[in-house]
Amino acid sequence: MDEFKIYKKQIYKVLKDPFTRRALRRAVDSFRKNRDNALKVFPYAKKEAEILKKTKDEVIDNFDHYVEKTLKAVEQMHAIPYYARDASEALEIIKKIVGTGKTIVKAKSITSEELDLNQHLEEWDNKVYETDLGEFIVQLLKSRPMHILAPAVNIPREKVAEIFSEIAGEELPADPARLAGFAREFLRDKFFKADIGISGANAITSDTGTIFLIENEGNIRLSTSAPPVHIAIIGIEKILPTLKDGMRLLEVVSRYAGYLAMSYVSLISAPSKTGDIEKVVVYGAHGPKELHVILMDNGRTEAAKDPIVKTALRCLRCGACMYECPVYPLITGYWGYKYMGGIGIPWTAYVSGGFEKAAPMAFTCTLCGRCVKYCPMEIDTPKITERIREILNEKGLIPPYIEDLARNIEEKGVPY
Amino acid sequence: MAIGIFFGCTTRSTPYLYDNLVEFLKRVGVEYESYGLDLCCGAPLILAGKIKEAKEQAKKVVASIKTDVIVTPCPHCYFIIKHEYPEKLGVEVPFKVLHITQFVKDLLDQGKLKLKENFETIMTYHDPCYIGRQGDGIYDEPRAVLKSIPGVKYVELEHTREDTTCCGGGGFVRAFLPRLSAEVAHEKIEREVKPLGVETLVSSCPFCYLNLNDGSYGTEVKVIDLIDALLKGME
Repeated sequence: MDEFKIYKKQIYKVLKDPFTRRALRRAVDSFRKNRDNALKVFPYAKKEAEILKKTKDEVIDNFDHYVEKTLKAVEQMHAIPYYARDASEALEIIKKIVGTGKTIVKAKSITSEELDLNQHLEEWDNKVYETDLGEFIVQLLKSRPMHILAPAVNIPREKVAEIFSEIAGEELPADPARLAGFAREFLRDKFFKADIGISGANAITSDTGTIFLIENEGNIRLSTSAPPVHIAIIGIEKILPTLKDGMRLLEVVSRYAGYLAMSYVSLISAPSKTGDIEKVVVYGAHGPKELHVILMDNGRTEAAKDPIVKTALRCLRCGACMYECPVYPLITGYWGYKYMGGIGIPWTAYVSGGFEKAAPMAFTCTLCGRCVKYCPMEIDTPKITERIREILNEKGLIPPYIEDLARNIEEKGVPY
Repeated sequence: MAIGIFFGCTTRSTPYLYDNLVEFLKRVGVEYESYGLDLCCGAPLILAGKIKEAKEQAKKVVASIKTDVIVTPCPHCYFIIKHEYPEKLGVEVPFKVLHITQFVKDLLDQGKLKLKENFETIMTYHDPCYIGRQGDGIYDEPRAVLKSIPGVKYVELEHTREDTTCCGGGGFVRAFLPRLSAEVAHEKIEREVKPLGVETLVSSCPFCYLNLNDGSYGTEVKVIDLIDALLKGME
């Protein structure tokens, strides 16, 4: 049971990190203020969330239908649809499109983390740049994201200055504005020189195959429009029936993530085209000539079979649950693998990592239920966690000390 | 009619909690049968995903109860026996289940709590998850009895009732990652309790008590159990 010991050691190490504690206190306070304000200004967001939840459930209960419909819609728009059953199929598809010796700009995508995509792209001899500032920092540190929305939430500005100074070849001050400015300068020409841009998606609609990308920095917009090829990797739970549903998701996810509105929303339905010369349609005007859309299952259909676990697939990745959790702010993404926190437990078990990685995570949730109150999709993480623990028990993956307590009850009537 | 007190494993094995509860029951003159001293409610089995075993345990517990009512100081025992036995494990519960805070509120209403001693302190209450947000929303009863203690200056935390922040001890985290549990409690006390000038933090859950107590290190905040608070106010 080394997994449990290694995990425990990591958790206890981060627990002592004063920076994480300080940074997360600030992050929690400002998140709560912004979210409360956003929900006050737009009180109907709650009602919209209820409708969206029903829509998400409809898709989750009928994945086959919606996947087929979405793939057809993508094809009709002259984009290229793919369906990947798992991560290795997705990697095969991407490898064929990308090939070797290319420069790639990446927009923040947790779905691509399921594939360890950067590592593979580099193994195939390509140059990859993460363009989201947080992801860029994480990439330079050879670390991994510690929050779904704020990947570098636990890294102090001094550390960022240190690594940026190294690539700049000059001493940069530990000033967030100057550091963001450096990243902008450094990445600027990469967008235009890149052969390929890779993104995820907040949603894709099954009526028009339209991809929704919601962001604040503008890097997603550049990554998906400047290079001649755009690849979007999308989990099938991101499918929504119609464009109108996408607009609802935009409102809900923004408000619950603490924004009155996000800076940029990109809706992408097709490759760039023009018919301005003699009405002859030419693909690749100013934007990408090719749009590849990969719908990936990777355990989602399996998760959808369990009546309790399937509700985890509603997750919009707004991050509210993590900031309202009593545990997450103390240990950040160390409570996780690719997906993190309480909601990360089912996602790790079914989608990325497996039950062995999910086992110690499942015993890091106090089951207090505070997240349920703040989740726009009313995902009952404690209930899901209890269900996952039942499966862990069947698989013999309960922490040894807890097994002892349970055995005591069976043998002596009491745990201790 | 005698009632049953279902002590539960953690109260039974924590002398501070057990002795105070026995003393309190003596002082208010309640006759009772003792349960749950050598028979766990089965909550740890459910938390460890062992549903079949939990069901067997539930049957044993139900068979052991001879009274029409049981009162328990443990929110976990309360919730598991009252709700999880019938709803999750399919085991009928032919007796009434009360949490100790409901029971003492009844005593207060019947004039059976002689709260006459001064307990001069700035106090707040921590809502345990399993009688609150995860349970039946038992919020008013503990507050009513605590506010009846002479000398108590009661203040309310910012995150309270259904918005309460967890003590960190639940879900077996305290068994798997005890230092993490204690830090969750410490963070709560540092961020929510201390800034209000609170001297006494009261809980009505044995896990919350133990865990908040661990987390109160390095602060002036004293963590006590609700029964202890009542004893301090009783003649």
